[in-house]
Amino acid sequence: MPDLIHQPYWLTMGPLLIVSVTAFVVMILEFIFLKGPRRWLVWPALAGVLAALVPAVEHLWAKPTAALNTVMIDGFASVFTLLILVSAALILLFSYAYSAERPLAAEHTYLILFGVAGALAMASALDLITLYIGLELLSVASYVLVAVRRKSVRAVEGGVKYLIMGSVGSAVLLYGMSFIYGISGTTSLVQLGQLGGQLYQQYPAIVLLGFILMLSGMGFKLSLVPFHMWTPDAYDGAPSPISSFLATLSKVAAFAMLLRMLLFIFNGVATEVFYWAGIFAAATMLAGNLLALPQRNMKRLLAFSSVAQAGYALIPLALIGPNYTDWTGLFDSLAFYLFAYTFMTIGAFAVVSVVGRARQTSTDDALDGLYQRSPWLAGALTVFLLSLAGMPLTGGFLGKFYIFVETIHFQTVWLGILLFVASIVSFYYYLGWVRHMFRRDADTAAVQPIHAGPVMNLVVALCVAGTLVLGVVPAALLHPLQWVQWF
Amino acid sequence: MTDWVWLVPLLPLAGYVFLLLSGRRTPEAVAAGVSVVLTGISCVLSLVVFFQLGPEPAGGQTWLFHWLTIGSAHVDVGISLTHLNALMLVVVSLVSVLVLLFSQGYMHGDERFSVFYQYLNLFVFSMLGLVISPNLLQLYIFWEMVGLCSYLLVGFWYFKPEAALAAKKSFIVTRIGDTGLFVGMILLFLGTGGSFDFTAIFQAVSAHTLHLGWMGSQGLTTLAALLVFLGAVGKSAQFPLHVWLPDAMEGPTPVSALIHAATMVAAGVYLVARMFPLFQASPPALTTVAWIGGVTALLAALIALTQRDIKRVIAYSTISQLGYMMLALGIGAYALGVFHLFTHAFFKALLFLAAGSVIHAVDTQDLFQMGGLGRKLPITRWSFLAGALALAGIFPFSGFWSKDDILTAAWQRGDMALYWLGLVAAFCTAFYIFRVYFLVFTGQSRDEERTVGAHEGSWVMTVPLVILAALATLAGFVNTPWTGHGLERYLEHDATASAAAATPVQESLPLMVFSVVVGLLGIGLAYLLYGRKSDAPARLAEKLSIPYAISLHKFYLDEVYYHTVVVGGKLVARLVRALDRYLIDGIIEVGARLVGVLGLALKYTQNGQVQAYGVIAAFGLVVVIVVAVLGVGGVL
Repeated sequence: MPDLIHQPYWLTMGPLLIVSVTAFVVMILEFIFLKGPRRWLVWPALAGVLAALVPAVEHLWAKPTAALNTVMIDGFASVFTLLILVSAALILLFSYAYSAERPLAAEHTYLILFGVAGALAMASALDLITLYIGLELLSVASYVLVAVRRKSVRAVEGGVKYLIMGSVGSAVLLYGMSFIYGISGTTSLVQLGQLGGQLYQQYPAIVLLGFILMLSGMGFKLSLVPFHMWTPDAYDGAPSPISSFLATLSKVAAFAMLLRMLLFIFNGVATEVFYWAGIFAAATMLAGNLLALPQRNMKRLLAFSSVAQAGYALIPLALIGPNYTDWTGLFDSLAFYLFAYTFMTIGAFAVVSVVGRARQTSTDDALDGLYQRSPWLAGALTVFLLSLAGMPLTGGFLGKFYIFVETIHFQTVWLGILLFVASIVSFYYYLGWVRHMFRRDADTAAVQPIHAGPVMNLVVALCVAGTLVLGVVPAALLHPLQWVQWF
Repeated sequence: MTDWVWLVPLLPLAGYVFLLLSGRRTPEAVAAGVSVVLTGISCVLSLVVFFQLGPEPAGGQTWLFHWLTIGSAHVDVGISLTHLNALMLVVVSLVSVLVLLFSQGYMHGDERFSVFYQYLNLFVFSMLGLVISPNLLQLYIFWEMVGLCSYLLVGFWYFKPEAALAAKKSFIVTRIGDTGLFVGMILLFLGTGGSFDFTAIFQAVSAHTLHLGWMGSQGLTTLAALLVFLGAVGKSAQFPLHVWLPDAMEGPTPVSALIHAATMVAAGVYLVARMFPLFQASPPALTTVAWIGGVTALLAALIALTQRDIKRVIAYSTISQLGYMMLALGIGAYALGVFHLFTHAFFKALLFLAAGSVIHAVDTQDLFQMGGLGRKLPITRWSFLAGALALAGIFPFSGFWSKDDILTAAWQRGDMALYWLGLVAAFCTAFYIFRVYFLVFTGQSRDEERTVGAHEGSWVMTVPLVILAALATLAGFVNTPWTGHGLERYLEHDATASAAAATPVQESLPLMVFSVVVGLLGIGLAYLLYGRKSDAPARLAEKLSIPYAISLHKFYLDEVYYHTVVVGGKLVARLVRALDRYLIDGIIEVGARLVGVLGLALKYTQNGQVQAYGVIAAFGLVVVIVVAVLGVGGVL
């Protein structure tokens, strides 16, 4: 029985507690003030997220400490907590700006917060059960959020598809966990980690089965190929802020949980099993980019793009195999990539939502002549697209570059080459958008300018700043990462 | 106060950002005022830093920030403050502030006035950033940025076809040199085992630990030094890459003064000076530097003799003077090369601004349409005269001290060929600059229509002229025997230069008198030919028709380049294009079609039915599990 009184709760769970309490407070506020659109509920929610950032930053370099044997603070948890909170703040601002023109049910504010709480648990839990509860908290909130515009057929369709596929994913994940529990008799990651390679020596096939089932179960959340098919439907049906929530925050949390589980459970048998993550990464990169090629709907294209991006980000995980003495480089490259990915994806969704709304169409024709309508939005979207494609001076380029360097470092060059080839394919559709934006409309006088509201402009500006800062001064992030004690 | 040095480049950057944000319609007074004030503060700060900088550890004071990581190598950005760098800060910011002031009068009424100031601010920032770089990579980035600014400013009047062409030419020709610098930089990076840092490179050079593959320390040092020098040749317009600088005169004259005389073109000389330990370690590289410098000095001076365009004469003069600086560095007289850079910046900026003042007044650059302007433009005239005397190396103007020291150093080191190259060039220099002086300011007007309304510009144009004239006259005194060779001793504090300055030049009175006499002879000849009304120049040109034509046509180098490099290049380009069109394009076309078809095929899997999603997911999962589990020998 652990000593319940002298546990470092605040140190390990500070952000989680703040976000959860805020979620309840916002829920009660929503209940008290029944009238009107209640957009202002975003402000207390945002305040909570920003308040949670304080302990997250404060504890960034804390010594690894666990509470109740279930929640842990270490460099890994801190970095992911930080990223989740930053993206949550951006998404809340985004949804505030978005709902000015297209009102969303007021519940979405606290649903996002509950999702964030789940995501934070996924980043810091040390027990399979706790991790799973975090995952479900995030998932259930997401299912509802996708269908929050319940009168729209597409939203409900996307929500239901996501619910079904997500549930299959959860089931597969649980099935995989049950194998591991069955042969080890524990759900604690610490104890599983101490067993090391023993389990694999005894039951190689079952351990491998567990690994693949757990990876695939998380693969549904990460939309890895072939578990990705719900992605375009859900992203397209959901309001844009929620799409960006699924694409960034939800995926970041899933990466955190996946990495945590697989590293602790399978670290002794790395060589044999992590190879399979490489297979999934390869399939995801290629299929995601190929599927994006013929796509004309903007949000569906971004959905496939996020499929492909998840494939890139899975590469560091696949590298754990051959030589796992030097992990920090892998974590650095994954964390860097996810930071860059978060900024450029939220920014792209923000611009697309403004333009789609103004032009009353969801195909890429909406982008025609955007440079004439709003040079600022066109410039910002160009930055995001170049970053997604991986052009120098953007965070996306350095993110891919560092992953590429790691593939050479770990002598798995085929993945690096595939990353390169897949990126070349992606240039076609990203730059296709750029071409649309800078195409001149024949009738210059008739061009209607597009204006985004101040809050939307703020979101876009923050994302541009994030993307460019990571691209121009990567040390702004890499330098702090050097001091992080990962485990 | 030296801790505030980071502000020096940042203030012009702030000016750039301000003008970028405030847009094209910024009033002229605001654009110019903000720029002058910000750069003025930079200038004051640079002066304070210059005087406060005491003796210091090897490699200078540095402030570094971690910038990026490539593999295991960390690259920093930051500031390195050595005595050489402090001197460069003063030169750059001082000339910049005067040119920025002058431009307000010169560019008055231009439609893109604020854009002009925007570019100038960006240039000043880049140049200041260049001279305080602590490593080669940062230097290279700023090096390219000043090149970009030069391109933008040469082509500022892009609607003139000559300007657009000249901008392109300058960009392409300097790019040849830049490629050399880039390769040299990468070689040094690999040779030192992953560092761009100057200090680290110098340590590796002096410890002979530089190596790369089969190349040993000595070979690599020479190769890297020559490649770095190639960059300097391009930027400083040395033979054979000098052809871009005269064409760059299509830009507005203040740009010529700032970029193509005082600062950017001196960056090549600065680079050689900054990397002097590398050159010192390789005698062949040093010899190359000296000879390229000497040949350039004479060649450009010979071309300048016959040019009709006032700016082109001064442009060739710049090339020639940069040749002197290279010569000085090449014979190991590090401090003297830097000294000449210092004085040249002032008197050459002065000559250009004075020429600008003349062009502003008469709206032509043809020397033979001017004449008798001395009475109408008295301030311009006297300041031009100060600049011309400095350039001609007449006692006690600044150019005398620096040029004479270089010649003396060549003499005393026994490099007689180089000494004579320099001396003949000095004679030509005195002749061509006074040819300009007499043609423009004395005698009768040759084109009344143009010159009749000529008058001085407003105070913003005359004040910089007067200040520069004072500097051109007096700047030499920082390094005379009477002032105890102040500048040489100042530069000696830099650990990198101490070895070079160990054998100081002994002034010798006969040599001094001799070079002054040579200069006076040049001036006298110019007076005989152009100072009086006569047809002697025409007759002389007729008599010496072949040498005259060679000089007038710049030794036909442009033509030679056209018929070899350009035509040959086009031939190769055609070949490559054919290859590209039929072979590479074919392969890419097939690849692209294939990818497109694959994408379409995959699209049909995405049919919108959730049953199908489930089936595909389950199928994929089962396949992976079966393959994987069988791979480790089955469950049982």
